Parts: sequence; C-alpha cells; structure tokens
Amino acid sequence: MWNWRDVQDFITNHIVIMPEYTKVKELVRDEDFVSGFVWRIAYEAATLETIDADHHVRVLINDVCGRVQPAKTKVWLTGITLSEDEIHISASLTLRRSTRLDMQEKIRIQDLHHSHGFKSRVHFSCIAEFSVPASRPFEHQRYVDQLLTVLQLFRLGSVSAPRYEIQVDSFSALSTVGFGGLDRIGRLAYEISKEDAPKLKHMLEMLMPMVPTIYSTDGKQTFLSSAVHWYSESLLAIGPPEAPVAFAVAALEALFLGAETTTEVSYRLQQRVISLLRCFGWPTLEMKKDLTATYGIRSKYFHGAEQRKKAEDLKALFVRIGEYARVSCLVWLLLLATHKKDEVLELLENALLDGDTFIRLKEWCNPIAFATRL
Amino acid sequence: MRGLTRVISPGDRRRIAAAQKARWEGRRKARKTPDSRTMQVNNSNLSDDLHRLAEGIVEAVEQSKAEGRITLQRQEYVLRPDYSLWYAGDPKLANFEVKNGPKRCGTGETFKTS
Repeated sequence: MWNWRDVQDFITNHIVIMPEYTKVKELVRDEDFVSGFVWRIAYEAATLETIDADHHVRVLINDVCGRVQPAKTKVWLTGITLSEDEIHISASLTLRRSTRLDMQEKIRIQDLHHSHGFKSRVHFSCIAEFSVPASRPFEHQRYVDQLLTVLQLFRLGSVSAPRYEIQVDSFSALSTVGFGGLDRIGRLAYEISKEDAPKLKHMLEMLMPMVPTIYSTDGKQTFLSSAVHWYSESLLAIGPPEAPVAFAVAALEALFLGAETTTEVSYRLQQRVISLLRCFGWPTLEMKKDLTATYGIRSKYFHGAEQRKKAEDLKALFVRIGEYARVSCLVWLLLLATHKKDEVLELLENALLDGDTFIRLKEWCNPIAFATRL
Repeated sequence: MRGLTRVISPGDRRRIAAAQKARWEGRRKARKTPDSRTMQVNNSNLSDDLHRLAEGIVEAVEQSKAEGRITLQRQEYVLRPDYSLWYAGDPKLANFEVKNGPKRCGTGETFKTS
C-alpha cells in the first residue's frame, strides 16, 4: 500500500509540473477525471507489476465524451424471497439468495474497533445484481428506483433497497458509490420462482420506461407519481396497522379522483374503482364492502380519531385494498399510454350506466396484461 | 469496493440526485463550447496525449522507486461477518459463531446472529 498522503505529494511534486499534464488538463477540463486518471496510473505503477494504460485511457475518453458505460449494481432487497438460490430474470438481471461472501466484510486492521460504528442496519431477504448502461451516475439511481417500483407492482410485497452499490468503470468521483440508510421492515413479502421469471421480465420490459421516478428529468409531480408514492408508502409503512390501509386508499384517491372532486368523494371513489377493476374479473360487491370499510379507516387515521378494529383484521383488509391499489396503478400506467385521465374517468362513470360504454371500456382494458384476478 | 462505499441517508438522496443532475448538466453545456467540441472530434489526439502522460507518470514512479523515495507499506485486512446485515433468507448463513442457534427478532422474517 502506498499511503495516500505520499501519493498526493508525489503527484504535486512530480506530475503536476509535467507539460503532458498541463496539456491533458487543458483538453479534459474536468479535474475529477484528470486527477482520478493520474492517481490510478501512479498508484498502479508503484504497486503492480504491470498496468493497463490503454484501458485507463479508453475509460477516460468515454468519461469525457459522456459515452454510455455499463455499471454493475448490487441491491440488497427486502420483501422478496426466492424459491431457489439464483433466478435469472433477464440477460442483465439476476436475483439471488445471499452467500456467505455477501455477509462478510474486509476491514483494515487499524479500523477494526470502530469500522462498524456508523453503519446502519440492513435488513434484506435477497440480492439483485444487474448491469445497466448509463452515461450519468444519476441514471443508475433512476434505474434502481424504477426497478423497485416494478417489483412492488409485480406482487404485493414490501420491496425496498436498504442498501445498493454501483460500480462503473469511470474516473468520475461517483464511479463507486453506495447508497443506504432506509431501515424499514415491511409487513409483506412474496416469493419469486423460476416460473415467474418470464412474466417478470415481460413486465420489466413494458413498465420500466414508464414508471414514475423521483429521478425523472422533468421532476414533475403527476397524479400517477403521487399514486405510486402512496402505494409504495403503504407497503413500507412503519406506523400502526391503520397506516398501510390509509396510504393504499390515498393511492386510489390519487388515481381515481381529481382536483374537481370535492363532494361525494368516498362514493365516487368506490364507483370508479369498481367500474375499472370489474373489467379484470374482480368481484364488485366484495370491492364495495372493502372500499367502504377502508375509506372509514383512512378518514379516522388521517383525522386522528381512534380505531376499534383488530390488527389482524386490518392486515387482512390491507392485503385486499393493497391489491386494488397495485392493480389500479398497473392499469393506469398502461392506459395513460393511449388515453387521458379525464377521458378514462368519464368512461368509468358512464360504464356503470350504459352497456355500450362498458363494452368500450372493456376494449380499452383488453390489451392490458398483469391485472386479471388470479 | 466496501472501503470506498459511502452510506447516505435517505433524506440526502434527493438533494444528491439534484446536485448530480445539475453538475452533469453543467458538464454537458461545457462540452458544447468550441474547445470541448474540438476535443471530442480529436479523440485520437487526446488518446495520444493521455498515453504520453501515462508514460511520463510511470517513468517518474520508476525513477522515484529506484531512488528509494517511494515507501510501500504492507496493509493487513481482516475478513469478518458484516454485523450490519440482517438476512431474512437463510439464518444459518450468518451463523459464524452461534452457539444456541439464531435469535428471532420480532419481525417474523428477520434473524440476527452474533
């Protein structure tokens, strides 16, 4: 090991004064890139027998030109268990169980007594590994965020990433970075088997480009982004058992109500949810009963009133209302590719009154996969 | 990789994303200036310059090593269980030194071993 202070001194005294350095710095301009390149070459020259300068030059040129570079990403996931050790979802995405190697850490001997002091706990149930081509660091984060949303929509599970690490062949300061700190223990987990892989792959291909994300380039909040946010909150809620129910109802409200709906809110919400989900075989009377009960729970929870329901009943209710929210988010995501929200809402209300309109709604819904009740 | 990993709280995540985005937007604009565009076109020139710089660095390192001005130290590492990880899958996996089996921790799906 070459002490970093000695490396820095060496670079200051021997490299920065070189005319080649000045020329490269004028061309590249980004100090992070040049400094990373110089450090890497100097360190490897001092500590390794051979260095691959060609490779480092290629990487730096890619950085400077903003070319797409594949990143290896490892995500610790909650809310998903696997039926076997490793399941390949696609050519670039693998879900796997943890190995003993994942559970170990390599620590410098002088840091042994304090290295874990500031690390947050990471609850996880499986690991996702994938390679994503991206030209900017935040694109990797966006991919992780969208992947989590699709996994939350695949089935009802408290999917989150308490830690993820991204490694890119780059001299950017963010080429190797870990994110973490979200310590929520979800209430629900679902299992993925080998048979689920093609379905999940298909869903990822369809939904990844369209799921809302906080890393979107325009940064706009839409009713769909609000709905997906509330749905995600319902899966990861850490409050009392009323919280997930209330958040799932909030997701449905974001989808099926608008700024203009100020009266008969609960009634209209019920009608519109039922009108849409019955197209996919969901039982109408059961939905009506659940939506009535959950809207009351949501109101009491948000307004601070006491509830008298048992925790087990609330959990069972959440599983049903969570499913309605999940499927509704999926359907809206796909419907919005071809229709506007107002058009859909109008059709939903009229489809309850008119047979022809119901047939038209069914035609809109027919191409949508994933939403049919199993 | 772990040695370089920074752990960032969720509250900071959005601010970091915004800052990164702004930074990259700045770089993208900078690349549109005439000088930068020339540089993109003349990648082969840049490649030659980088190779010359790399050769210069290697020579300087070799010379300093020969003169005994570079001191390399032996770094020792310890491989141990990562106590921050709580795996809900297979509790036996983290059973490095457990005498009485894994302890259940109330969540119904998470085990901690010590």
